[in-house]
Formats: sequence, structure tokens, C-alpha cells
Amino acid sequence: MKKLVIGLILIGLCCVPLAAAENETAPKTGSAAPGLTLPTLDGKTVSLQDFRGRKKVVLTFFASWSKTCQDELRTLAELRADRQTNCEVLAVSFDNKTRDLKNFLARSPLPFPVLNDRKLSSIDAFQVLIIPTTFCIGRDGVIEQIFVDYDDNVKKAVAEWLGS
Amino acid sequence: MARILVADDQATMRQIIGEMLREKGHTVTVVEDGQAAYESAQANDFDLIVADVNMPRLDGLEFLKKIKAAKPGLKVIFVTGMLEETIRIGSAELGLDGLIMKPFEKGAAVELIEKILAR
Repeated sequence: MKKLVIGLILIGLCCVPLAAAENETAPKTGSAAPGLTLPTLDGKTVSLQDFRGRKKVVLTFFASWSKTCQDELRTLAELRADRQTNCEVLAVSFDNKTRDLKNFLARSPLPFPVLNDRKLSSIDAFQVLIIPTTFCIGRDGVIEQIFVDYDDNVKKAVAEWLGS
Repeated sequence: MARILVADDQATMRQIIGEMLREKGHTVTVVEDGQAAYESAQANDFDLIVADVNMPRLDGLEFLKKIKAAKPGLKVIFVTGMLEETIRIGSAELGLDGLIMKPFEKGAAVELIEKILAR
């Protein structure tokens, strides 16, 4: 058998139905955000829909090993600190191992809910192909912005959106 | 810089992968299915093919089998959201050079692709 060099990025050897990623009903700006309910590491359950009518939500999908995701999470922590009353950040982890996520949060605590989705149950509804992918969701539950990947332009755009 | 063929039936993936490779200076050609990928790979001299596994007309494994038989030295990477054991083992036996799982980080994917190109 020839040597297989596997760049197993993010999710190890788990099986994910490809059909999910081919779905034509991908969330778009102007459409209602899909529902999302996931556990935190401390056993609580958080639902995106609970924020409807109350707060704007920045919802980001990440993996703790990703430097780009780490950069974005740090920025989101800073942005949220200034706007706690009118927004919330929800970070959904795709880490394959809960231990990796725990270790990351022990090193880099985050001031917002971090949801554990190691089975990638939210990937279908939100059509996440790239990490990080970030959704800015208005108080009415409608997606107002979607950002794929993260850089200074995304940082600026999210800050502006939160301030609007 | 390398000549890279991207084969994926999902327009978003073609766009994402194409852009991230062009940003690195590579010349990128995109096609929408396995048969088109095979025909394009036969007609052109690519350094690497980045292909989906679940493609119409000719699926990834069949494509891999055919292209490795025709051009054994041509490097092929799968980008996929599924990794059933049969695909993993089958791909290895057929000489797959690398595998990227969705969702992926752009930087990590580019790094893997360039590492394989450099071999």
C-alpha cells in the first residue's frame, strides 16, 4: 500500500455526510438563522433562539487548534467586553476531542459561552465549510452578515456591525 | 508556481479553493465533475489536482483510479466531508497524496497543498 499522507484537518476520522455540505438551503444574509442548541463544557445548554428579541448575536464556528480562530476569538472577547448589554457571542467548537477544547479554554478563557459540537451536528444547518465562519445575527434572528475566514477586515466589519 | 486543477460540484467550494490557491500565485483551473476533471487532466499538464470525493459523472475514487493509471506521478488531494473506512483504505491503495476534511482552515489547507507540491 502506498504511503498515504493524510492532512486530516480538524475532525479526524469521523464520518460526516457529504450531502449536508451540498445542501442548497445554505443560510444567507437576510434569512432567519437556523436553530442551534448545544451543551457547554460545564453541562449547561445554550440555544441561539433564546437571544431572539433580546440581543444581537455573533455566532462563530471554530476549532481550538486553529491560529486564525484563536485570533478571532480574542477579538470577539474584546469587542464583547465593550457591549455586554446589547450583544452576545456564541462560539461553537468543532474540536474532535473535548479534552483539546478544555485545554484551550484553560489556557485562554473566554468571556462568552463556548458550545461543544464535536459531532459537528450544526455543520449541516449552517453549511460551515471553512473555519472560522462567523454569522452576525440581528435581534430579530435574521442573519445580517456572514464572514468566512478571519482577518483585519472581518475584525473591522464585526466591530462596525456591533456598533450599528 | 504550480498548475492546479480543482474539481468540485459545489460552486462555493470551487470558489473558496480556487481563490486561496490563486492568492498564493498558483494557476488554477476549475471543473464541476469527475469526468471533466479526468478529461482536463488528460489534456493538460497539472502539478496537482484537488478533488471532491462525491462528484457527479465520475466519483472521486473512480477518478483517482483512472487518473493514477494514466498519470501515476500526478498528485491528487481529496477535499471531503466524508471519510468512510472504505474511502480511506481505497484512497490509500489507489495512491491518494493527501486529504483535507471539511470544514477546514484555509491556512492549514494551503500549507498541506504546498507541502505535497514540494515533494
